[in-house]
Amino acid sequence: MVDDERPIRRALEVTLVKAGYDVTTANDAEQTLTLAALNPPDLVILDLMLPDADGADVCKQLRDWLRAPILLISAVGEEQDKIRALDAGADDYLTKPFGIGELLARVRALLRRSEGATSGEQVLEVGALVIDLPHRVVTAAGAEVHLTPTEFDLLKELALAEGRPLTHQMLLRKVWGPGYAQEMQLLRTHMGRLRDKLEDNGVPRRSIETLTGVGYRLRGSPTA
Amino acid sequence: MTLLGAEHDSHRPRREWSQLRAAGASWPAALSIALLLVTAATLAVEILVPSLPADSAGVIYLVAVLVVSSLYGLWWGLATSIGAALAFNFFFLPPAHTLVITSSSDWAALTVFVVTAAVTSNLASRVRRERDEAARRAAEARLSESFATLIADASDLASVLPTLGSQAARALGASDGAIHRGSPAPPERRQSVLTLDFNGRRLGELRLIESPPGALDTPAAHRIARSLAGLIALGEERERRLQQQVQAEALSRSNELKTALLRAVSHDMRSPLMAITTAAGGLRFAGLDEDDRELLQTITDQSSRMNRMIENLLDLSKLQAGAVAANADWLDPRELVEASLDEVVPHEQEARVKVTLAHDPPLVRGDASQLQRVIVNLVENALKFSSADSPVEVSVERAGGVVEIAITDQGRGIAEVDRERIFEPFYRSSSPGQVPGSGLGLAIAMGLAQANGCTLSVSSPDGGGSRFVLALPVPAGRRRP
Repeated sequence: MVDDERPIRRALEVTLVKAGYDVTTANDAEQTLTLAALNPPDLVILDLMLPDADGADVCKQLRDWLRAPILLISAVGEEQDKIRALDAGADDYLTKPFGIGELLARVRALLRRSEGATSGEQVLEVGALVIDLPHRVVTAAGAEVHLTPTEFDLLKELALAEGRPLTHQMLLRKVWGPGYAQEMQLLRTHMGRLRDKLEDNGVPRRSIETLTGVGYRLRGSPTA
Repeated sequence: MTLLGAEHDSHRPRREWSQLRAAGASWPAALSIALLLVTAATLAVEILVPSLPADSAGVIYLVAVLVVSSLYGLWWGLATSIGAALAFNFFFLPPAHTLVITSSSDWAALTVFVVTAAVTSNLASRVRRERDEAARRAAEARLSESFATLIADASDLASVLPTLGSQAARALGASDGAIHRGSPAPPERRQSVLTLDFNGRRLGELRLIESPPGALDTPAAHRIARSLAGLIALGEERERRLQQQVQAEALSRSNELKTALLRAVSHDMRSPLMAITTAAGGLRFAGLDEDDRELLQTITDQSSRMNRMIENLLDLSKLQAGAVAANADWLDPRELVEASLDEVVPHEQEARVKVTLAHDPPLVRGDASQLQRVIVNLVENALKFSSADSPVEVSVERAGGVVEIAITDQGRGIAEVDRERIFEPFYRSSSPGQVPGSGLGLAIAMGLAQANGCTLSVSSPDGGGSRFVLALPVPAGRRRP
């Protein structure tokens, strides 16, 4: 757990320990990298604003060898930094000030996902949605949802990252290709139509959460 | 070194500029020279006559005519040739010492002489005029160059005007002069005035002390005035641009400073709040009883309220400092509404909010975070200022060239007198039954809407309640992928 402000670091540490986690704290980038190398953690909670380095760079360096999920803590108005850190391999973020309940929920979700790695699954289930990857078929509560190939790819990427934020640029690169990273119009329009179709099939529009200025996230099913 | 060089430069052209003065040679000098040369020619012919025929020796007079006309112009040349013809006739054509001519060959010789002298004097005077004109133009060019160099090197225009005025005045034959700018004032005694106009704009006037009569009416004087006016206009323009640049730099520095200050303050104020919230959150595992948990909840709730107030104050100061930059991108208005509702509507109030979204509305352009703040503030207001069981409607629909996001509540509505002023910071409605708040939400909503090129308006239908409408312009010719 990395934060350069001692009162915050200490409060988070006490809370996490009481919640049953084993916590090691660091107050800057150098200490973070050293401690992580000595005793590889299961999860990293990282403040984006560090005194000695850019949070996104630390993410990148950790991601080179560490598979554990990284949860970012950022302030309001740091959208660009968040996007860079997510692109550099961070898994999720929280914006200050956040409730402890929310932090613990994110920590649990990230740890659960990293334990039961979902890669390689052929059929994804998210809430009422069932996405059959090889056959490119989506059903909602048993009824087929007719999607265009682009809408299917969008939903597939969101479902593969279920519960985790995907930046606009990540989605554009994965669905349309590397040359389309700035084509926000494409993404907004297709996302609007995908939500329309999901809504028509009884899946709430807000199942796909809008992360303003950052990207989108498919809300995980409560039971997952 | 520089001073010495400048002094040298300002002296050198002055001698040459004297060529600009009107060529009004004094007539006694011309007459004396003409008489002297004719006398000298007569003596020369007298010496040559014993060995040469008088008709041939008379050519000597042409030299006198040539010299006079090249020195004093055509008319003095012609006068000299007539004088020479009379002298030649008087002294050398028989009968001598009379002006009578008897021989027809002498008539012919004298006629040929007069015609030749006239032509010679014409040619010589034309050469002289052209030479003088060329010299004048060259001097003018050097004068303009000197003006331009002075203005270009000067740090400000006012400091070189005295030198410019003095140089121009001397070039025009005056003893001294000065340039006056501003409104015209009556000239002092012994001063004459040349107005400096550039493209019909009066830039000032050149006042000459003891200028020779008629010196201001020459084409050269007008050309000098034009060139001086043009250079002064150029100098003024340069000063104006420099001033604008300095102002722009100062403004940009002060904006950068304000933004940096706001960032620092925002960070310093949020960090302790974050620590309070986190620490209070940690106490949830402390095995507290019902009362303790209530106190803990108060700490958490009031911390987040305070955080929102800091947020609002910072936004307002940013708006007032002009430090809000809209980071425009393509947006789906429905997403804006959904993300705003996610942010602002508490779980227990979700049922109150009725959402109506147009099917496939056009995309708009704006800063997502800022427009979301506008909607959040409006929805928050609607929930706060109407009873907890009344619905709040939020709709997105296309209306002509705009997409309208409307937030309608069934609260008390807004009195006519308040409607103009509710968007002012810290303004609270005059009606009874105050609801706690800072009075900043609507001011911020209005500021952010305007920063994104949107309009925000309010109406209170007769049946009660208020309806706020955020109108987002739809970019013209937007392609649909």
